[in-house]
Amino acid sequence: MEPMRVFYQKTGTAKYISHLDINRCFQRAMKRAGIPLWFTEGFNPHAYLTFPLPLALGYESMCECVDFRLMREMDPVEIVSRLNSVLPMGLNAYAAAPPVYKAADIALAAYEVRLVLADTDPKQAIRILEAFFAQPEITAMKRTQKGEKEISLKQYLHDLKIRPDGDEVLLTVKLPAGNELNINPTLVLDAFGQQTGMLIDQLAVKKTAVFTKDEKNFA
Amino acid sequence: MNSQLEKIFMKVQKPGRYTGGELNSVVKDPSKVDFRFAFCFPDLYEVGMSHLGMKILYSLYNREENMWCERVFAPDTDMEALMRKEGIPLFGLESRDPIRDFDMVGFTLQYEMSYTAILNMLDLAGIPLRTSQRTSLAPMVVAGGPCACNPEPLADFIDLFVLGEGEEVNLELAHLFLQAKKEEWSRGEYLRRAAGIEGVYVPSLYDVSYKEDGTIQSVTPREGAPAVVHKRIIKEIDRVFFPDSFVVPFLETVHDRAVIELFRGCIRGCRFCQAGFIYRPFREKNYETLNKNGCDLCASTGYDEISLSSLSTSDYSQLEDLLEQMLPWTEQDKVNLSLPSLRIDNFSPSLMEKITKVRKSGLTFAPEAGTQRMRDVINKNVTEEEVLATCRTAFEGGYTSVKLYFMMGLPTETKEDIEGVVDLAQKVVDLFYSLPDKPKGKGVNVTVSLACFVPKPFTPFEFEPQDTEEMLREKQHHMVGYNRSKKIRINYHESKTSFLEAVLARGDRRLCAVLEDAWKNGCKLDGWTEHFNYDAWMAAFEKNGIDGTFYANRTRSYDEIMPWDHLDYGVTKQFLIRENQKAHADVPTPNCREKCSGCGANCLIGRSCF
Repeated sequence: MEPMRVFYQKTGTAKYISHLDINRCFQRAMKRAGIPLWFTEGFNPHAYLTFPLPLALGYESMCECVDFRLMREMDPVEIVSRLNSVLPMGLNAYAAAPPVYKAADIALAAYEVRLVLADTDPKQAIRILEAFFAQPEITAMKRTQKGEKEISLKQYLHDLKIRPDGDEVLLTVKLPAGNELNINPTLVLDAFGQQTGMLIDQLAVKKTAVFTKDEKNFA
Repeated sequence: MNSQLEKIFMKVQKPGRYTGGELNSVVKDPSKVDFRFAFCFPDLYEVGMSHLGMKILYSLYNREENMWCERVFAPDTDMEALMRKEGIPLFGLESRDPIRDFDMVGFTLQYEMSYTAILNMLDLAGIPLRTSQRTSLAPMVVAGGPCACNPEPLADFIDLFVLGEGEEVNLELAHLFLQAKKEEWSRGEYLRRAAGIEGVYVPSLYDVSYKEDGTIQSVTPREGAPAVVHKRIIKEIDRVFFPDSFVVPFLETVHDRAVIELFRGCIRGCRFCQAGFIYRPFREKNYETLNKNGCDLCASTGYDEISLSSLSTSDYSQLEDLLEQMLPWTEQDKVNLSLPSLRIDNFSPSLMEKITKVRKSGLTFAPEAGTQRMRDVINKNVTEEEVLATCRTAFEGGYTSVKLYFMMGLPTETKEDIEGVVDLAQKVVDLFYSLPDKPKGKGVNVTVSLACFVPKPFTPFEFEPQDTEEMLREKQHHMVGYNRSKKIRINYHESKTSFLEAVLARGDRRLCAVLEDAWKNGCKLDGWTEHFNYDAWMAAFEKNGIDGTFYANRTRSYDEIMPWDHLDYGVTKQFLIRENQKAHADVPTPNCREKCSGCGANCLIGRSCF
């Protein structure tokens, strides 16, 4: 049973595939690709796939990954090329290797957010955004298993940069990710919308990198 | 339109229903195709994507280089509201182009309660609802499927209907359309010519007159349309086109698996069952063809389940051969076989051993009626001993839950027949506890699922009245009260829906106005309990001065002209009358393999069936 981790991009229409559906989609893709997956033993044998860091519906990503186990060895290059010949549009495998880190090692994720504020040009939008993020304290309501909880966001915004890009505003940021604390850009922008009264007209979010606690690329 | 769509995708439940992009979906360059077809399923994505007919026709069209078939489903209410608000017309999933710009828009008619969804989809598409309001050649609005055997309630909305099996006639219609485009025919010209193709019914070419009592006086063809339209069938079923890939949905659909089609038609002739008559004659595919179909599908889709589909799977004469070929590779690839529609009387222990090798799930059987007399009336040729023997086989094989399907409101039904349903279920419970080898440590669950009988065209019961709502409700209550066992669970259907089904199934074209008003009153997803609005339907009947009970609850005489009598599905009216008489005499008819009952359908293949 060889553990294996495949990295893939999820872009375009594929961003509308929910996390649950991605699992089924990969199960079938592995089957079509003839990858010798290890199956659970028991009454209902099924391939065991895990996704170290689930992606929100509607987000694109350059750095998704899926873990599984192989019945017998297979060249990682072969796995990538076989998968790419059967994956649906918008899903594209780019690397495979035995896992280096555990899912629990994930600490941060980097995002690229493109947005347009309603009835506001990019320059003006940037001023409003900068003013919002310059506040000493930013709070947001985060839904947890125990209900809604108020959290202070400011401490979690790492390497926040805002700049114009054509008609859009491009915002890049690193946010806590993983099991312990996961904050996604939508939570931040919802807080922005609520507190400034600004309406976000267009919004596209892309995950660009995932890091461990010591800021190494998750591999 | 794309950026507009992207915005609303994030605001709706399950955007995967509307985005397209699934594996094996076909995207072509619109500038390189001459014929664009919108295959519309008038229900939600999850339901429509489960339909085998769509998969067949989708591949059939898209195999043609110059044709492009796309899928269209009814949007859920949240999506519909946003589409209307943003002015987004109904679009094909593959190209996201508005279907009003397509050449042909085709609906499949699987159940009567989807009719209002058709009107809603036409309206969302920006296509005039009524045939008479459409002026240009395209889009031509067509429909087919089982309910096309009485399409009259849709006659004002659909330009032409395809009767019977579609694999050949659809391409003939497409080619005629290409000629029409090239030679710039009017839509009237196209429809007149199309009416000359066997299996094509153009309702606007027929005048219907009525007697004073409301029944039909005559149906008169005009402009050279045939007096009787014969349905189309595929004569050599083993050579029929079958797709080697299916579109694989991302989200979970009702039936999300590979399907192979064992045969068409049915040898049984249960008198209530429309499918058992309109799909005749019985034609089997060869087991080697089927094995290949299944193999190809699993390879191209990655599905881990194959359904062996037919009206009565255990009647497939080569079932043992087929399973023998399929079991080795399906076991190795961990593919489950699912065998729906098993009959009680030929469910052998060796067959069960083969299916349980793969996975154990619940078993479902359909005795349909509780007493032997009632089963003889409906020609469900199974005995109580057979039901119990099958359940014994199942229990001894480790099953602890059995689901039994029954109907209520059947012709000649009495209180005894109703109580007989519960008595039979109780005997199944008692049987379980009497078995020394019963599964240890578990109780038994018997679920009784009760449907209300709906008389359908082209069955021996097409003459029969449906029980009124009050009668059905009273029978349901009686049955629930009569049950004394906690091991038996009784589920029954809403009788109001069954009433509307009965009206639409045997209705005539005067119902078109009712349908349109029901839709205007907000009906659009009638198959979904949460959207079903009976009062809106009743208001539509009232507004048009039409009494639904005239269609549902009236006994029709053998010589009455039925709204569908000018359509021929192979089975003759004389045969249906004969079968109706036998039903009233409690006399069953042997199955087609035992003895030909002379239904007439073998004329379609020009030889005897066996």
